[in-house]
Amino acid sequence: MKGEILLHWLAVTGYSLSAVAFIYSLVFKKRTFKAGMVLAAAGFLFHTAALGLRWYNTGHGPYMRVYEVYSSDVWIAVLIYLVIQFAKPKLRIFGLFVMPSAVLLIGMAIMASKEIRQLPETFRTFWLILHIFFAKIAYGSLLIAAVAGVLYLLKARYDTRNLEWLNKIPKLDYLDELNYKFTGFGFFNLTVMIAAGSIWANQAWGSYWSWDPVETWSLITWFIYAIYLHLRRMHGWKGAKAAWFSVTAFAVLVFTLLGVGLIYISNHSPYIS
Amino acid sequence: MSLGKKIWQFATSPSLALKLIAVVTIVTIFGVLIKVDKTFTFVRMVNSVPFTEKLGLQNVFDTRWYMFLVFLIFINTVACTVKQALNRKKTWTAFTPVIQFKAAVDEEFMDKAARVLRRKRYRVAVEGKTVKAEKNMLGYGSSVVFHTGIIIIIAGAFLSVGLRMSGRFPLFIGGTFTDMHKGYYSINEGPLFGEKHGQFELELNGFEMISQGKGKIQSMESLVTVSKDNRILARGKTNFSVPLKVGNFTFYQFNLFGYAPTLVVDNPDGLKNSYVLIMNTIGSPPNYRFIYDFVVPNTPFQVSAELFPDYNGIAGKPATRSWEIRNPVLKLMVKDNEGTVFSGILPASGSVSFAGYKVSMPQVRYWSSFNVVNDRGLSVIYAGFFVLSLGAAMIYLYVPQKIQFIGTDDGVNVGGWSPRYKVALTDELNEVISAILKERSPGH
Repeated sequence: MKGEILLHWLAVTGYSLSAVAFIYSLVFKKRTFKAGMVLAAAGFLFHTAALGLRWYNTGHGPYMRVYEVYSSDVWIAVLIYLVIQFAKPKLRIFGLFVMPSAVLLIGMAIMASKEIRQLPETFRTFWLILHIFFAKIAYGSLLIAAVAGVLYLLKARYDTRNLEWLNKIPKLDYLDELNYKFTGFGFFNLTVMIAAGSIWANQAWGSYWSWDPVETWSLITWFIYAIYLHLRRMHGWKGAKAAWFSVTAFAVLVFTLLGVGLIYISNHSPYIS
Repeated sequence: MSLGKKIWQFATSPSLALKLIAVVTIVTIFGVLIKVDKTFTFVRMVNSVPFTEKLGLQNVFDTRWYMFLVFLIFINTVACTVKQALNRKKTWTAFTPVIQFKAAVDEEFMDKAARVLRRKRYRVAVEGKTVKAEKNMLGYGSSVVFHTGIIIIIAGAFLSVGLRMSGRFPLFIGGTFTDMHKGYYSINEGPLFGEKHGQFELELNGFEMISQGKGKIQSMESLVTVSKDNRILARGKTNFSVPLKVGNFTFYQFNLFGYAPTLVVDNPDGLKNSYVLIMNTIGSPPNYRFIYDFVVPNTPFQVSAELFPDYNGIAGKPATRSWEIRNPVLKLMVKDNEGTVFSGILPASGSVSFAGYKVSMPQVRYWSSFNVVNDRGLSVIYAGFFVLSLGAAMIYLYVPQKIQFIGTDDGVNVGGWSPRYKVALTDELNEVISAILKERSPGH
């Protein structure tokens, strides 16, 4: 357990320094962006080791209780970010939002109870793995979409002032399309996540849909992203309007992921409490 | 415009779809907020306004008006999907050129362009001085597939709501449950289920509790035999993660268990009666209690019984060491109209006597409880999930794209079309042009 906590703290250190490097680069116009990337990658390696050790210690994947759930959510988000920036270096700027979010969430994870909870028998199913896998990919993608939205709004707001740091942000139409692409990808993953979760619930409890709070809020989130996609596709919404919508939708997603399970008793309480 | 056309236009309007999704979203948010508000403060507030109490706000999701909203979405989705399927663009359209560059438009150029585009997985057609290329055409049908998935799911959900039956019943080892409406401890039936009972008998052959230590139970597993008209349909195990499916019925191990001691009462007149007590399990682990209160028929006695399956032997403060039946004892209190006639411990191997009666407990068995579900809509919903996921994957993976090169005397005009990603298309056009310009002629 001690090794796992130490590795988690090393990951936090890497992510925190990476966030500082990104902010420093932007505010003081220093070339610390690459250092930020290296630190994020180093933190990710420690994080991977920490989760691997946790998996070994618990005998199940990192999806029971706040500590494991939040930590693995951060892991996926950082992984998606690292892959994206590797494929498209001009998107490194996304780290400015992804890394501080990662630090915040992993901090919440580390502060939570680290007691090992055995996997309930109903959780030992392929459908649960599928449900969690697609959930994490969906959250990571929609985070990136929201970051694209925030960057769009920042660039659009201050573009006329000819600020140097704005040059590091990709062009508006590119950000807008990125927001659309990642929302589409996130929506696909949300769809499969809800379907797999429903099949799992039926297998475990004999009911594919029970209007459980987390279940219902996931459906609401799905509806909201469906509205976003319809607005873009059918009504030509793009630019600032779409960016605002995306950021708001992500706030609902965060509430569904972090808020609902903590506030209400639900079928998801055993893993989130 | 005819009325039919007007209705068709209204039903297929994308803005109607958007409005309906928005309304359902808002109502669902209210519904879930009310559902978790155990004090129903909001419901009481709204119900104080005349005519609103019939809205059924305590459970919005079970109301007819919520179902009607979902039905409207269903109709709108069907109409829009049919329209989309009919309007699939099959013909080639000319695109407004977005890029122009200088190049000698000869056969060699056309050949290079075709090669580059084919390498990028485009289907290419060369017509004179025009190169037409398209890829991911499967994506044209993706939205239709996705929305068909939604239609199937909603249809399945309606079937499920109408035809579903779910019930719960307890059963002790060796006992048989017959599927009769009144036999269930609790039962829910859809309005169209039609009381089609008498479909199975279930016998509990064995029961096992899997402990995870500290008085906590990891799982429960039952061995059951399902039969109909004395013909065995299936024999197998069911536990928390594996239900048993037999025909249209699925049997689930429910997480409630208890004990069923057999009490034998020898009456003073020589008659012998035996009773199987399916004891109530109250509390939560590790503080379970197993109790049963009953009036013994044809006697003045009222019995309060509590079972300790693995008695620790402390008479003053009885407790159990585990949930396994190892050393079962029954703590008995017998009262008649005048007061307590007996209070004490009845061990499994012994008997107790009072007022001429002798009570013994020859057997203690487990009882287990089961949920049984008969849901005709489920397979339809699952099929819908599959189609929906397939459609969502197609939408993302197959973004249709078309590129057109038109050779002119001044050079080449390049245009293209993509339903969603215009910037990506422009990047692709630039990439293709650059690749064509770098492409060597065959033989070089």
